[in-house]
Amino acid sequence: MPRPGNILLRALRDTEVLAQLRLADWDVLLREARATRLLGTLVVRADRLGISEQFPEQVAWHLESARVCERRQDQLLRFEVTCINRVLKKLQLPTVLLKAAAYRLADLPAATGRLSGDVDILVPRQKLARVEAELVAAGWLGAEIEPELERYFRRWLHELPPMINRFRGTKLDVHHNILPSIDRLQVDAQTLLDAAVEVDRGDGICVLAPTDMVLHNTAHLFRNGDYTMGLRDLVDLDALLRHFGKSPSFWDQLVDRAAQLKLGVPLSLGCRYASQLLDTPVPEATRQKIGRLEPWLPPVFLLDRLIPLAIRPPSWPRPTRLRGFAHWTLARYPLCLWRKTILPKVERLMLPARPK
Amino acid sequence: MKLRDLTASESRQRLAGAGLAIQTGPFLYSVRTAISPLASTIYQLYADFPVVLDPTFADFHVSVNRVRRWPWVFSQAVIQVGGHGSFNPFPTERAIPYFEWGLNWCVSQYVQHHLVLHAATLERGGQGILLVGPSGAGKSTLCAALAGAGWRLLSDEFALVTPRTYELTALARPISLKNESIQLLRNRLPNSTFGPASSGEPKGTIAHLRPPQAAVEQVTQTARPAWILLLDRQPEATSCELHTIAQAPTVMKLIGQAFNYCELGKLGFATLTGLVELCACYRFTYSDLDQAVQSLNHLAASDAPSR
Repeated sequence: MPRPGNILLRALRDTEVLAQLRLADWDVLLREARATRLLGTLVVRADRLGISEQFPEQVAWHLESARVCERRQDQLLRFEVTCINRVLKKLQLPTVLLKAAAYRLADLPAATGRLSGDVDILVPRQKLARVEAELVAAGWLGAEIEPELERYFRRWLHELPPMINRFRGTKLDVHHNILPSIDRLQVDAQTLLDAAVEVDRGDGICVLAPTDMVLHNTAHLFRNGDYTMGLRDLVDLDALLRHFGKSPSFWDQLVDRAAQLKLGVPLSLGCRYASQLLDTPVPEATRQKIGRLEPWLPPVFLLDRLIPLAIRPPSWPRPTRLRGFAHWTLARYPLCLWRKTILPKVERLMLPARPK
Repeated sequence: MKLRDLTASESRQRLAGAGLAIQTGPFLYSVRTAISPLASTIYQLYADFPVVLDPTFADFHVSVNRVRRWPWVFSQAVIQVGGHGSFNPFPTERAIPYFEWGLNWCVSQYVQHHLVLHAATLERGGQGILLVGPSGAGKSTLCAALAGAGWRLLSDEFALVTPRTYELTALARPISLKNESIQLLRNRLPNSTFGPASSGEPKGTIAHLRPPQAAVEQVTQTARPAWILLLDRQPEATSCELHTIAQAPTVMKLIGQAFNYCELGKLGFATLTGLVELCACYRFTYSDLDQAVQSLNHLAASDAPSR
């Protein structure tokens, strides 16, 4: 019995591996690639290499179904972005896309086969209330969540509670920063917005600058404590670094930007695990420079054990306790218990209730 | 090898251990459960189905097992589909309908190489019929009655339409009957096997009818679609009425009953319109099952569908 995720990781490192898999490997791979939402990525990569013809006939329709979903995602996402852009135009704001939507609209290789219909945007904090009002007026309603959770979102996180379009059921996350307000690390979101670049469409749709896109990905992966979709985020990081890394000046810009935004810790972790698990090429010089950014690093010897456990797909039919333990521990790592659960409670006792 | 070739206890042991792979039409489900009432119902309902012992590959992996959830006095179970997280737990005595729901979920979620419609499908003389209608319109009831009257059951839940050829693929899974139709069909088909009835939310009492052996044996044969019947829920109907309707409104109705019309894009439109063009379309209401079966037998015998 192979360890969960082994075949998947091998296939993500080198797509050619797929051509040599036996049927029994596919049995595991399909399950794990679906659990980590990476089946679309694998299929599109295999199609580009032209090796899909060599796969066993039993898997053909599974892959065809993944292709159908992938094409649909692409169409949905682009349409959704157009709708959001129309609303933000009224406020004279550019639509700054984050994550999946950004990769799609900027036609980056990281978008390859990515299955996610959610759109994430970044807006200036001082405009947040007006953006929310305009979006609500245009049909994006707040998802029905408990008042307690809603308060937590608004007070301590870097985004509004998820908004669902009442006509299409699509989900939109409106961010005003890339790190939760509760985090010890803080970034001035305005510098990110100032550096955002317009994608080649001329209608005010922007994505973060390449360095910022990488830094956002690492911050998202290593600071929010949720690793359920960790492998997919790491695959995104791998694709971003491989793509932007082709330009030789990129790596120095990345280190400088990380120093400026004080995001050295998540960046060093991102580079470490991307190259460890997915063989992402990171120049040795860059590694050393990132290492010098931070006087002290998180307990890497622990993370080296926990992160590969946490991001690997769940084992079947029974989940391993180890994976659960890794998730539990990592959920408490960057925002320790104090910041995440006790501080909001203390604050609620100390402050008078906010008028509605 | 068929499930009935194993003994009940062998089947139970396999289900509780490494799993049992059941072939329903084109799909091979690897099933695991340690809940013995569910295991015996699977043995009963799927007796005629081919099984694969120790398969190297299965299309879907489904497990139904008990979970410990507060308050512990109520036994709860949860269904898991490999490759997907998990679903909400349910009372263990509802395991059978939830298990069937889980198998259906796999089809509705992962099958995108067919146009998948929510419809009961049967075949007679190589020609297929689609029974379409809202929940409670009597699709499954009529489907079970027809399956007991010489029509070959394809599926009581899905019409799997292959793009370009428009063939209907059979699954021949058990028919799910609700509330009053359970007793109605028990009286009507005294020689058929029914799974145990289980009551509760959200759909009331549900029992499953074992598909006729012939339907399971001929499951690999596809059918050419010939008739589409839109069933209306009309509690006051006193007679059996079959009215011809136009193709365009039929397409509109079917879009609402499709699981992946949008996903397939242009291919979805082409497949759906192609399907409707092959078929004679009717609006159908019935109050008496005998009349309904008779009327459809007559349709099959006389009505050469317009091509």
